[in-house]
Amino acid sequence: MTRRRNPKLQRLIVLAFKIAPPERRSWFEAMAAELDHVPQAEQMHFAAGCVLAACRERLGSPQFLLAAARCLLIGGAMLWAALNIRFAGRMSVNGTLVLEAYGYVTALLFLIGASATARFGSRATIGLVTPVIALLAVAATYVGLGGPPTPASALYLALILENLAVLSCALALAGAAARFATVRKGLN
Amino acid sequence: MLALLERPQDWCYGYELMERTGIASGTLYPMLIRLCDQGNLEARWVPSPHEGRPPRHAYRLTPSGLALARTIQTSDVPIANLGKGFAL
Repeated sequence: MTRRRNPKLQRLIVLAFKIAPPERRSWFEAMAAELDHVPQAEQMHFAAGCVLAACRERLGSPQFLLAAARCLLIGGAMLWAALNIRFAGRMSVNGTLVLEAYGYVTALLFLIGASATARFGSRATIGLVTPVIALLAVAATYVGLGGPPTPASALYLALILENLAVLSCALALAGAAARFATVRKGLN
Repeated sequence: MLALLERPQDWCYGYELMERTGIASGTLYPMLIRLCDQGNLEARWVPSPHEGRPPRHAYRLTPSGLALARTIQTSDVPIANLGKGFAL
């Protein structure tokens, strides 16, 4: 028979279990068991530490980082599609065609990136995203400085910058995932 | 690791290590997890001597952990300040 815990402490422990990656569950069982041996005055601090440890383990998990990178790439593709729908009706046929072609190629690249990340891991993301970022940076410079600003060029520039932002986030996440994977491989 | 090196044959509990090192649980347990992953720490469940309390997880250094801890102890590598601060 175990002692009845304070409901607030119990909620924190349950939260820690929910946040923690499944492969670390035994460690959080250990923390939950240890809580019953901690003096009452320090139990809340200890339980909050369980939640912090769970967050650290979850954020450091390569699976979580890869899933976040994939979600970002797919979300980027969906956002791009939504922007196309929003703006395509207001433009000329030629303007729409250029935008559509650019949009579909970008969406395709995002989806290839997401699939490659799922199949080959974060290094595939880095390999694909880095040249695309360089290409988009050149395109942004060309569109931004290439001529007088028009509504269409402002839209292209905004969309290119949006892509750059999404891809930079994906690159940062993939870089972090690769780093954690390397560190863990080195440790094991 | 140096705290575990003080009594290398004894099994230590998480709270005991927190008291000895001044490191809070939110920082200590991830460190224990890393040490275990590296094979420098072993863990086991120990029945509690107090009736009605659950078993506790106990830790001690493995031979490779002991060797690493002794290297750290004798080297001039500065040890980071892992005091409680704002950590949980």
